[in-house]
Amino acid sequence: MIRVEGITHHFGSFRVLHDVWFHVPRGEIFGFIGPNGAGKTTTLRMMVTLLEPDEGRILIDGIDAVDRPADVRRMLGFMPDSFGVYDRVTVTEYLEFFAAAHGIALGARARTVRAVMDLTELGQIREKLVSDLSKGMKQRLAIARTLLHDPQVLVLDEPANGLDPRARIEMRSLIEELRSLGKTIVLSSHILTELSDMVSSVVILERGRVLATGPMSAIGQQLRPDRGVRLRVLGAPEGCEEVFRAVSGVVSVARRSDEIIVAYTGGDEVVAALVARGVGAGLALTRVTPEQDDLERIFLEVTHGDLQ
Amino acid sequence: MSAAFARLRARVADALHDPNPILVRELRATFRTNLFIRFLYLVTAVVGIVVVSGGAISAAGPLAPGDVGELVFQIFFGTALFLTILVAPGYAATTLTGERESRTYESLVLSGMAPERIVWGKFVAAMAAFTLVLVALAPVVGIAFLFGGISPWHVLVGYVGLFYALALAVAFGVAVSARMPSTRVAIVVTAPLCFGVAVFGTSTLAGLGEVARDAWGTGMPGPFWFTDALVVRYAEWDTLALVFALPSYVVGMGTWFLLASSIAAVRPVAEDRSAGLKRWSLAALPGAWFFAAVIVALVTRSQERGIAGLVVAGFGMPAVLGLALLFSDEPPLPPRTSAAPDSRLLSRVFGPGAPATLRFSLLVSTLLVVGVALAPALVRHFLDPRFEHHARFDAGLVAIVIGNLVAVLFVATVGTWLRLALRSGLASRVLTACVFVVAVVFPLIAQLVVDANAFSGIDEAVPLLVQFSPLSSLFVAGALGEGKLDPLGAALALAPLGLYAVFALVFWALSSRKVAATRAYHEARRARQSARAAELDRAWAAAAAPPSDAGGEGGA
Repeated sequence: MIRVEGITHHFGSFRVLHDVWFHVPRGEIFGFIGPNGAGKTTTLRMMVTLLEPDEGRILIDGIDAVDRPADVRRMLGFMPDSFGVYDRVTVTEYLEFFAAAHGIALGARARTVRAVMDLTELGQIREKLVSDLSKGMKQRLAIARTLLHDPQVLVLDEPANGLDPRARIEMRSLIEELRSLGKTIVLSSHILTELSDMVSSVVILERGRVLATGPMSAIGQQLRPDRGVRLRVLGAPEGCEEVFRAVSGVVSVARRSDEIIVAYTGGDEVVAALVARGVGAGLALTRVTPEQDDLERIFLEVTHGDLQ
Repeated sequence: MSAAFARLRARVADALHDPNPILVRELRATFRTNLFIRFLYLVTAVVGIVVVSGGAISAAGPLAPGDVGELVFQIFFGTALFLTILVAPGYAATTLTGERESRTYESLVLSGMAPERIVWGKFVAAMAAFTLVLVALAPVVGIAFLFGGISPWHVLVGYVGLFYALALAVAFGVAVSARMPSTRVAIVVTAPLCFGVAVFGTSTLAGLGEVARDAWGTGMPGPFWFTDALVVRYAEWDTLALVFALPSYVVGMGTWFLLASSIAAVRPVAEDRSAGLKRWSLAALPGAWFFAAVIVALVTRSQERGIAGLVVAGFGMPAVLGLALLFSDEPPLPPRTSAAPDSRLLSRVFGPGAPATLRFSLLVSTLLVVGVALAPALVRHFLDPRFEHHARFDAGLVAIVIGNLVAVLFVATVGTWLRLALRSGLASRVLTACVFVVAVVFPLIAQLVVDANAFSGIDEAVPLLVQFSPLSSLFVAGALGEGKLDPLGAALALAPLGLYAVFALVFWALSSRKVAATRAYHEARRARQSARAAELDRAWAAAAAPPSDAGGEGGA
């Protein structure tokens, strides 16, 4: 859906992006992560045609963002990390304004605004002044604005920034609902645990360079070829970890309280063999938890903590 | 014609049925603030106090009631004009900077709304808000009617004058707003400038009133003298031309220019930013020719008509130099958004990009220079067919045309080359202006150093060093008009200007080389990029997963 090919960008003589390549698959939630100053926002702003790369190109569904920015803008909805709203208008007036700005015909405008308000659950506050909305509601309104022209791609820069826990959960469910509607969503966030639950592919940037990109499972596999599983053993008798060490494919076994952490190579048959061996040895297994390729682990292993 | 009228009617109907969203939103936001209501009260109170005080003081004096009425009328409109020039640009200067500062501007741009609609919406909204203020002041002028001396027509014409000033002031504010990074900077730029213009403009207008009173024997004293001139002499062509048509042209073209400039500033760099200004400059031409003719026609004596023609043609130089500088901020190549080969010949020859814009700039300048020389000549020949010195003044006009064309060729090519070399429109314009000033002034100073009395006989023979100044054509024209120089002498005196033409051709060639180098660089970069993209496509195709939409296989 989105192909970023070798983009480089300078602010004055300072190079903020260097030969950045990645690919965002259609219909996925794509995570955009990196430390502060990594070049995330610059890349996102190029994707939405607010900046031009010095080198390289960005294709949105095959359309060059530099050559045909107007066409690309019709396909994109962008919510910047810090955005403003017009204060002295109501929620409905705000959305009607942007519907008109997007060129939605007068006859269809009210219907479109109503549909977007239903989707983003803003209907109950439609007559409220925007200045009276909470931060979470303003974020929701900003997302509603990006949906008015029914874009195929949503680019959300830190959408959960500054939200309370309830608003974050609501925001996450809204994003997942949008994905279920077939939208491709590019999401930048510092809150890796939240991203981890939503995204299927990521790009990790540091100092303007791509450190890793692709499906999270593939990156995790690349970083650490062996897989892990946690076995909780009721009571966990002394020396019980030795039971698992003999299973074929096991690389290492460690014990942490009543959990046995096993690293192995191979497929799920190794996990089945571990369970069978434990049960055979009379151990009371209460839980088997495969270790996730969680985003935090990937992020920490990939990045070096360098800031630009 | 009927099709054009139908289109216009459809557009007006559309605008009424579904108005510009920015206009609607701005008006809602403006009228919902207490600040605006307070401002309305404040302005009404200030104008009311000034008018009542002025009326009371003058009524206590020896003036007849009718004169007091006229004075109150002038105080009212003078104060309203002063406030309009002072406040309206500052108010309008916050329109686009406010969007940038409140971080709503990007959403507006990404909505795909055309820059023309954004700027027009801001302009009309600011006009509407200030119109409300001016209309709210109307009852105050009623005090003048208590004393007599004015009619409702005076008030109507006065308000038309105020709206003219308002249009220019608001358009100026929007233009500043389009180019400034913050509201604070915009206000700092506009406030002192507007104060100066308010003081100078109001007093200049009053001064012109004195001239008009002497010439026509009408017009009340004060800046709004033209109301009386138009009410009394509405059937006289000279009054209509100078007091109605000329201000309408100046205000109309000035407002159009400022809005076109705002649109160019709002438009992304990747798009054609000069097209609007090019349309404006073409539209301005007929008016310039017309008023050049009118000014000469107003002069009654033949000899003076000839001199007036030379003066008018001479004023073509600053105009074309302004045009040359205006169009010297063009990138080397047409923007990528219009990179597709355009089939229209006009667009290819005069469209976006430095070479085409340079050609356009020279074409418009030539049309202007030739037009403002030809129009006075035609008027002179038409009104005085028996005038015996036509040939002298015609030769003088030719000298001015040659001088102006050489000057504009030099400035346009130097400006274009500097823009390409420095990559900065502002720096190149400032430097080009400096180069031109040096070219004008240096020969004059050098001549004075060589011979302190050199200028005493300049109406007969232009000194050698002065001939190297682009202004020399004016001296030559003056000498030709007075019959103190023959055509051969004039040709010899103008010959040194050929040096500037040679310089211009050199800079034109250098600019062309730079453009060619830039084009080659971009084509090579594109080719490199395409090769890398093809390489990646092959890599993706070779991978297990299909390259399209199958996962993020980008080369980290």
